[in-house]
This record gives sequence, C-alpha cells and structure tokens, in this order.
Amino acid sequence: MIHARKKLLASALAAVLMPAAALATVAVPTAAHAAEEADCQLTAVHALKKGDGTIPKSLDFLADQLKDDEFAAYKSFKLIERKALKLKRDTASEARFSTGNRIGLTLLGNEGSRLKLHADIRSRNGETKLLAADYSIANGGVLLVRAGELEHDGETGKLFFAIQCSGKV
Amino acid sequence: MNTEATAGVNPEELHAFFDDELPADRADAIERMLAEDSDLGAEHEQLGLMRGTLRASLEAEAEAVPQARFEQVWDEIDRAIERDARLQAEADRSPSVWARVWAAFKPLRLPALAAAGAAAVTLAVISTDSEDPNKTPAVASVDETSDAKPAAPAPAPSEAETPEPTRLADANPGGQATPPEPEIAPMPVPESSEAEIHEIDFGGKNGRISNTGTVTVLYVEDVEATSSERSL
Repeated sequence: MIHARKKLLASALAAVLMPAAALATVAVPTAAHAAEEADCQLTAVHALKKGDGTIPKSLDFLADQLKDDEFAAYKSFKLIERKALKLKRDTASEARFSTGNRIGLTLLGNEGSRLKLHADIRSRNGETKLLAADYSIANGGVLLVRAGELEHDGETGKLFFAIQCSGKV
Repeated sequence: MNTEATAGVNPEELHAFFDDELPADRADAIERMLAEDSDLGAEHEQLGLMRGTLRASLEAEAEAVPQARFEQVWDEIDRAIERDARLQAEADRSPSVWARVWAAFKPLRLPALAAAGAAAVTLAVISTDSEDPNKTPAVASVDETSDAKPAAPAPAPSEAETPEPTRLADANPGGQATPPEPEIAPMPVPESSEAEIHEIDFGGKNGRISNTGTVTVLYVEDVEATSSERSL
C-alpha cells in the first residue's frame, strides 16, 4: 500500500517537473540573446558654475546623475543639443554636434544584460581625438564625458556629453 | 669667531629675528649685534639666501603645474564644501511630526490612493447620472434676476444664445502654455549607470575616470599629458 502511494507521488512529481525542465531548456538560450542593435541618444550639456541649481525639464531624464556629488560644483545645466543614433553590431555610427564635436559609437555586443560599446569622441575642430573607450554599461545606462571648456550663449562652462544606449538583450 | 654679542644670540633667536617674531626691544638689540658682529651678520645673510632659494624653487614648481590642475583641485574643493554643506543641512533638518506620520503610512499610500481614485470615479459617475443630460455648465452662469421669465416655455436654444463650449479652450490659448516637446523623447535611465571601462585612450591628453556608484564620468583634460608626478 505504502509502495503504491510512493509510486503515485513519484509519477505526480515527474509530471510537474518535466514540463518545467523542458521550458527551462528552451528559455535559457532565449535569455542569452545577443544584442544586434541598439538605439542611442547623445546629449550635449553645458554645465555652469552660476545659477540657482535647478535642472531644466529638458534634462529631467539626467536629474539623478546631475544631482550626484560629481556635479556639485555646477549650479546650472543647459541642454545644447540631442542626437539619436541607431547602432548595428560592429558597425560604427557617428553624430556631429553644433559645437563641432563628433561622437562615434559602435555596439560591440553584450555581457548578459549589459551592453558593450565603443565610444570615440573628437574635439571641436572635429579632427583631434579626445577619447576612445571600450566599456560595458547597464541597458539604458548613461555614460558622461567631460569634453573641456565651452563658451555657449555668452556663458563659459564645461561641455558634457551624455551617452545612453538601449538594446534588446 | 663669535664675539660676546654673538654668544648672546642662539640660532633659534636668530631665526625668530629673521621671521620678525621677536619683541621690539630684543629685535633692536640683535640688530645692533648684527651691525657689530660680522659672523652673526654672515649667518643672518645665509638665512636670507636660503629663503630666496627655497622660494624660487617653489615658484618654478608652481609654474610647471598647468592651470587646469589648479582648476581641478578647486573643483574638488568646491565639491567637498558643497557635499559637507548639504550633509550638514540634512542633519540639521529634523523631521516634523507630520513627516514621520507620513513616512509611517508609506506602505498604505498606494492602496489609499487607488481607493480614493475609485471613489472619485464612482462619485463622478453618480453625479453625472443625476444631472439633466441637456444641462450645460454655462446655464449656471446665467443671471436669473435679469429678464428671467420662468413661466414662459423654454425657447429652443438659438445659435446666439447657446453658450460656446469652446470658451474654456479660449481661456487657455494653445501653443503658449505648453512648452515645445523635444524632438527626441528621452529614454528611461536605470537607477545605476555605473560603467565598466575595459579600455581607454584620452588622445594623448590627461584624463581620469570617476565612478560614484550612480554615474560614471570620464574627464578629458584640456592640457597635454605630462610625466609630472603631480598628474591627477
């Protein structure tokens, strides 16, 4: 009697676990999907040491970053320009800014849910290399780059580029 | 060879005299001794030479430090001051009773808001049902004391008498109140944007990577890279 009950329990357990195991086998390769494309936004921000500390609505999406201690020395921020880029894996795409800077981005792949990217920033004359970096970042994460001093609308401040990419990973 | 006067001045006192740290009467006495004693005078002169050499060397070193370095240092100091002031302000601000009560009810806020929303929708539905469907909000603004004829049958609303439903819209002319939408809608940013830098080249200039846990910032400096030990 006990033996029969054990057999019944084992059968029931197997019936429950088998579909789960099968599902896991199918699901795992899907989760490890490689990023082939990414949508990126590049934002040029003018950081000034004068102002009342408010972050304009146009830069709301960067508020957490701009309120970080790293930017405590700046009292106001202005959006200069925003560009969108569509990246394909291993293919460089470039955006040119009104400041003269050029930013090239390449999607190198992904590390789990993090995107691997290559960024290449040229100076305001468009020729001199300021920065070339390979990095990985959370999907949708923002990397900020300070690219020297800039006079814009009669005010002198620092030029920052925010690089943000999101892909299907 | 030290004279009697020299013997009366020890090196500490001579240094103090050199730095203008002696009382006036003692300083006068030493000044007289310096005039009389050539050895003491030479020793005093030596101190002057040493100070000149040291100052020149420090000035030369300071000249070698680029302006951007100073600015960077000041930025760091500014940041530290701001951070300290903010932390101090937060520490000074003790939460009020209401703030504490509000915090205590934090887990209940969402259900309460949902319930309030549902209640508001229900009330709105009930009040709409109880009203005359033909009644417009503008009727309330009609002055009932002027030329009101309640006994007369209600005339069919003519075009001239019908309140303009667009009047509310006129009070808020479009295009001025709402700011223009940015051409590119921003993407949501995850809580942590910490980047891991695998390889970096600052194009022959100085640069640094700062990671705060919330954000990663790459600083490209305005000056060419130097081999100075003071490079930050």
